[in-house]
Amino acid sequence: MAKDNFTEQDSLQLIYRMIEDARGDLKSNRFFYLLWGWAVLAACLLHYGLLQAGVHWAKASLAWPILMGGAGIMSVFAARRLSREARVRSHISRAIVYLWLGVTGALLTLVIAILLGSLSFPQAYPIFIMIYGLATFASGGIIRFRPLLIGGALCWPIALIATQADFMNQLLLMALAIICSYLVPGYLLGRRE
Amino acid sequence: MYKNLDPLIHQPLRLAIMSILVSVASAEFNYLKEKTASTQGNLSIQLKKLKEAGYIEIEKSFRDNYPLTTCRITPEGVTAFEAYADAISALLDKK
Repeated sequence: MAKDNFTEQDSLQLIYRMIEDARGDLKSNRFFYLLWGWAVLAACLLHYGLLQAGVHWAKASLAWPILMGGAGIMSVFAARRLSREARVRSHISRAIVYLWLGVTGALLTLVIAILLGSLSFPQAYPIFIMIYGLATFASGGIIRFRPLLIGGALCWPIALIATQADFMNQLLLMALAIICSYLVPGYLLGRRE
Repeated sequence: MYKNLDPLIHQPLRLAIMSILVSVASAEFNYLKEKTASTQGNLSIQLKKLKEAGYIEIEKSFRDNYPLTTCRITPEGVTAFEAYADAISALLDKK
């Protein structure tokens, strides 16, 4: 970088270029949207399919702990690897990490409430969908990505419909919510990057 | 004309470093070297000057047995950078 004749105009351009450059390096971690999108979609459809096939509900609902557990383990490994490889840490990525940690806490609280019998599956599913929508909507706002905002917002009318639906249809509605809020924005994020 | 500009920031490489660090939480030495297209020696010298002024913090650690240098801006650094940006804007407004 040349030092001679460094004018205020040059200063401003340099500030602008460096800030834009650093912003451009922010990764949106679309891997997590796709991983969880496919895992939740598979769990919904598997649960639905098993119930349709007449499998006992307790066995059919095992689709959830198996797929969520697998996705959780993969997420921990992926997050560790990404954290090790990251050469720059942004304020945005820290906000996103805390948002999703909070969402995980909220979802686990719901799961525990179901296991304790204080909430039934049909009562809890619309709340799950609302929380997915909240997290995706907030992420979309933080990284300024409209498909995440739209996908997140779509979860709320879907959740509202789910409050009126029977459990089988709730599973399909959750699958729809996850396609809108995780999978479509996840693939569109790939295009942006 | 430049008497109101902080001389520690009003230098291309140091300004580039400050501009990057003000927009991220932290950045590694190699990232700064790549983004500023500077040499290792020059970058080290300028980082040291900014550290001595209290504008940045430098953390030395290891990753996979290799030394790792991580830099982040301090609250004093943010204040100084904002004052510099205000001074630059004021100068441009006068023109």
